[in-house]
This record gives sequence, structure tokens and C-alpha cells, in this order.
Amino acid sequence: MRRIYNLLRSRTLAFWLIGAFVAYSAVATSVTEGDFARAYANPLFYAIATALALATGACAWERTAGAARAWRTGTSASAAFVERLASTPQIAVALPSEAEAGSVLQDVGRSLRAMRLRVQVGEGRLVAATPRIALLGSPVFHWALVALFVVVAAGRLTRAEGLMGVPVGSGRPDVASSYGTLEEGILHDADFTGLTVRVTELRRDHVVAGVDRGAAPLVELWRGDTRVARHLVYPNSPLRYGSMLVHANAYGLSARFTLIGPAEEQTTDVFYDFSAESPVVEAYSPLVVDSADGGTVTVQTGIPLDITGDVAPWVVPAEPRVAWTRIVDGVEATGTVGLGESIDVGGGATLRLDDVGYYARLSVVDDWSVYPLYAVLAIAVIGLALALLLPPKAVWVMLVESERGTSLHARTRQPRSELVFASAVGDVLCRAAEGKGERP
Amino acid sequence: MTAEIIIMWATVTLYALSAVGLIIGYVFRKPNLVAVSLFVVAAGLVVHAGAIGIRWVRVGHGPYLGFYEVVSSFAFVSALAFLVLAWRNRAVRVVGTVLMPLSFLSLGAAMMAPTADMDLTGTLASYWLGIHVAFAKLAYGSFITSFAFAVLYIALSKRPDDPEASESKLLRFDDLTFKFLAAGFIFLGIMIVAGAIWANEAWGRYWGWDPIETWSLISWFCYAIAIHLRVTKGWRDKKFAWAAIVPLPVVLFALLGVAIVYQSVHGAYLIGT
Repeated sequence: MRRIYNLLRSRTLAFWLIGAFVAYSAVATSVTEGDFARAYANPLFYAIATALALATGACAWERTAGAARAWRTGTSASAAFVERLASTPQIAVALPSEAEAGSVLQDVGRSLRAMRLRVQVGEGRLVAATPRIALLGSPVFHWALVALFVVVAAGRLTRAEGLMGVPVGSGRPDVASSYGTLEEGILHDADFTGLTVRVTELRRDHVVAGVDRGAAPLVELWRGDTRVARHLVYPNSPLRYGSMLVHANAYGLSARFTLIGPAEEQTTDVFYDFSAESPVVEAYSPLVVDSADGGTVTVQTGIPLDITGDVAPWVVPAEPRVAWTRIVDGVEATGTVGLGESIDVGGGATLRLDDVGYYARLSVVDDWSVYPLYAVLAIAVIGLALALLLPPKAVWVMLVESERGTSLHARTRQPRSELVFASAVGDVLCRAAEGKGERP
Repeated sequence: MTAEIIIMWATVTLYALSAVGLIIGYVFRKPNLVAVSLFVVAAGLVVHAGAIGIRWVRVGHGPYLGFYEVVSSFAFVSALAFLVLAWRNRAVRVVGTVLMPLSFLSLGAAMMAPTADMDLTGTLASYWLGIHVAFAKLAYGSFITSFAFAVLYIALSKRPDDPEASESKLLRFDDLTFKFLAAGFIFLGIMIVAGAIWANEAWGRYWGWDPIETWSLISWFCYAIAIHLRVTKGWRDKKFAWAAIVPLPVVLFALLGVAIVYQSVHGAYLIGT
């Protein structure tokens, strides 16, 4: 166990893992030709990310232990440390014979305060250090990174994201069958949220602050007979409810058909997406109807748009008609129907066109991890800023009397990145010894 | 539009003059020329700010859409970073010999790009855009300044007789290389976080492995390696200077190259598609 921990906290491994992550990402982005997410669902990527998470955890643990030790010790100096400070100082500055030692020490204290250090002055010595909170920066940052890995992984396993078409004026239950495309984490609740997603209105060219936001559906969420959320949805203005986030993805036309069979009637909505290339909007998927002989009849439909000049505006035609193509036993039949008219699908069954209107394609995400993720990221940024902008530093200064006179002795403690701290302290001592007082 | 372009060319000229003045001033040890060059930089910044402001008012959005606006604003940030540094500390004015040529060249390159207006789209119209872009400019400004100090360190450390290459000055350049790199690392981190939150607001996903997202993360990791080399391995001097120089091309590719090379949903901000 100890060997694994030592391996994981190794600096060399950390460099290799970060390098592997960088190399994988660069290559994956270059070779996947548009399907970027697929490259990051590869087991190799998961292995690199997991190893990086474990190494970060080991590093966080090591830094926490170091910070705890430094916290306990604080700036207290043991007798051995004081002895070393007197006998083998890191910095030593002799005071001129006319200098008043106590006053020099006060000057040193003032200068160190100007360096944003907290100074405690004692009899013939002083200690100055950054606030103790500086010790927390690196551990907090690294633990936040570990939490980030965990929250992202847990979120991926439990989230669901899909596209749901909802005709304006109606609703769809939040269940798997309501989605055209759906990506579901393996631990996502199979019952979904139990809510109903309704679209009551569609504003096709919604303008806010002079900027066209595109088509904006008015989306409502209902739990049973109670409306729990309502929002006009457009980019940067999603509907939020608990772990759900609803965005507008696109809009198109929708046609409502009623299948009238010998025994029963069944209503179905068909969605049509606009295309810049064609004045006829094609159905997102064909209608498949059970025939009387136990087979199926496929009916492909499209809606011709009204053409104004050379363009076909993306609006419901003034007198909507549906062009259909029906294939039965390899024999193709075509025609058009208007509102209230029917398509014969054989076996005594007909498809009646009841309505043509708009539909909103909504992106519905159910992901509890988003807000915890934001919190973790905020903590990580705070930890990082603390670690890099307020690195823990301390200096111990002591007046030492000897046969040659009085000297200022000092020892500093700082991270390896802080190269100028010791020289800055040396400058402070020299200036104080020369009677130049505070650093400018 | 024409007046704006003329003003921008005036800025290019002022930045070029200041770059030449700073280089001659330091090479031939003419401190007066260096001082005059600082005033030329300040004049360039005032004119540049005016040109950006005029365009901002006319097109109704800040300088973040299209190669011209993006690169011009980075040139502005670099020149401003230099002037603030030079104002606060005489000893680091020599960094202008790297930063001002970079500002002049990048603004010149921006002027060669199409300068047509680009409209704010519904997806871009968000207050997160301002936060995201502000931290991007801070991050890239910090990285370019860190790069400039690193280049100076390497150049001056080869000339031990140069008064600009005293041990204390080199130590300061080394420290500033790290400090600007660390600041840029924090700002880039905040930029990525702000971008993730904005993506969730705009598209319903905080991360989609889009090329620009991915390359921003790659840039952040490259700088993470540089920081680890300093903090854990104790790299300093020339070794660390190289560690600070190497990631800059990655950042510049993430900023400018990715939108051109890859099909990216982020491409709109740079090339309008």
C-alpha cells in the first residue's frame, strides 16, 4: 500500500500523466473528425483520467499532511532552531557600532509588515509570516481537483440528456419514449422525473436587448395537475427546475394525424424540420402503421411551404397540406391531403390529418452534478489563487551579541518557487542596519 | 469605419516607433530615448483605446468578435501591461524591448485581417461573455508578459557584462516570469470555468470536448507542468525560462489557430461561422 502511495505521489508520475492527458487530448481532437465526445469515452482516456485523479489525491494527501504539520508548528522556534539561528544564520548583517539594536529591530518589523507579513516582536528577536490561511491553498486546490474528478464521474453516470419534440399547445411526459435521441448514464433513474414538459407558445423571432434570440418556446413543467415551472426559453435563458435544465434546440412543423381503424382511433404527432435546401419540410421519421394483415404500412410525409419570391419562409403554410408517399407490398402511391382529409392505409384504416402547427425541439438535461461542480470549481480557483498568490513564507530574525559587536541573524522559510524572498529579507536587514528605515 | 481604420494605423505607427525607440535606447544605452518611448507607448494606448471605443459604440459590443477585434485587444492589453510595469518599476522597463514589438506586430497582423463588423448572436449575448473574455485577456496578457521576461532572461544571461544583466535583475526577471505565469494560470482557469458555466447556460452542457475547449484545457495543463517544474522540482534560471516560453505557442494556437484548423462551435467568435 505504501509503495502504491509513494508511486502515486511521485512528481515524475504526475508529469507523465499530465503529459499523457495533453497528448491524448491533442491527438483525439485531431483525428475524430467532428465526433469529439466519442474519443473521450475511450477506455484509454478513462485510464489516464483515473490515474490522474488518484495521483492528484495522493498529492493532496501529502500536501495536507505537510500543511497540518506547518499549522501545528506555526512560527514557534525550538531551542535547537534558535541555537542554529544564532550560530549558523542564513542571513547575517552586522550593525554599525552607533546603531541602537532595539530600534533596528523595530525598523525590520515595519519593513516586513510592508511586505504583507504578520510580525510578532519579542525580546531581541522577531518572527514574521504570512497568515496561516496561506498553508491551506495547495491542499484545498488539490482536494478540489479530486472532488472535481469524482463529481464529474458521478454526474456522467447519473445524468440523462436528450432531445424531445413537443408540439406547441401540448405536452410530453419526461420518459425515455418521449425523446428522439437520448443519452442516459447507467445509474440514471429509469423512471425519470415524473414531470410533464409542455410548450404553450412559440415566439419565432424573439428579440431581447436588440439581439435576435431565434425561436423561443414558452415551456412549462407540470407535476400532475400542478405547474411547477414556466419560462420563455432561448439561448442563455434556459428553464431550470431542480436538476433539470431545458434549452430550445430548434423548431419545425408538426402534423397531428389520427389513425382511424375498424376498432380504434389513435392520435400521433409527426415532426418536420426546416431545411435551407428544400421548400418542402420532410418528416423527421416516417409514419409506420400496423396493417390489417399483421404487417406494417410505411407512410412518408412532407409539408410544402408557401413560397414568397425565391424564398420559402419557415412558417406554417396559409392552407397547409401534407404530401404523402405510401408503400404497400412494394407498390408506391402518392398524394396530398388537407386538414380533415384522410390517407387510405389499407385494411379499412385511414390516417386523418387533424392539425398542422409548430413544434419545439427541446434539449432536456437531468443532471444534479452541475451546481456541485460549480461549487467545486469555485473552491479550486480560491485554493489555486491562495497557493500561488499567497505562498506560505516566514522569517525569524534575532539580534546576536558577539565580541565583534551586534548582528542581525535571520532564517527564512518559503516554497521553492519564491526565489526573491530571502534576498528581499536580506535587503530589509541591510537597510535597517544602515538606518534607512522602511523599504520604499 | 474609415476614421477608425486610420486611427488604428496611427496606433500601429506609435507602437512601432516605441518598439524601435526602446530597442535603440537599451542597445545604445540612451535612457532619454527610453523615457520618450514610454510617452509614445502611452500616446499609442490612448489612440488605440479611442479606436476600440469608437468601434464598440458603433457595433454595440466589445472587442471580442473576429480576428481583427480579438488580436487588436490583445495588443492593447500587452502594451498596457508594459506601461503599468514600467510605471511601477524602472528596473523592468527593458521588458518593453520584447512586449512592444509583440504588440506592434500583432496589431499589424490584425490590420491585415478583415475588419468587417460581426453581429452579436443570441448564443453570444450573455453577461458570461464579458466575464469569459475579460479573464481571457488577463490570462493571455499575463502569459505574453511572462514570455517576454523569460526571453529577456535568456538573452541577458548570455551577456554578463551588460548592466541590465546584473544578478539581482536576472533574479527579478526570473521571479516575474513565474509570477506572471502563475497569474495567467489562475486567470486561464477562471476563463475556462466561466466558459463552462456559460456553455451550460447557452447549450445545456458545461463541457463538450469542442476543439477550443479542449485546447484551452491543454494550454492550462501545459502551464500546470511549468508551475510544477518550478514548485516541486525547483526549476529556475534558464531552465524555467524555457519552461515559460514553450507553452505560449500552445496558448496562441488555442486562441487563434483552432478556430481556423477545426470545425468548432466556438469558431463564430473568430471567423464568423
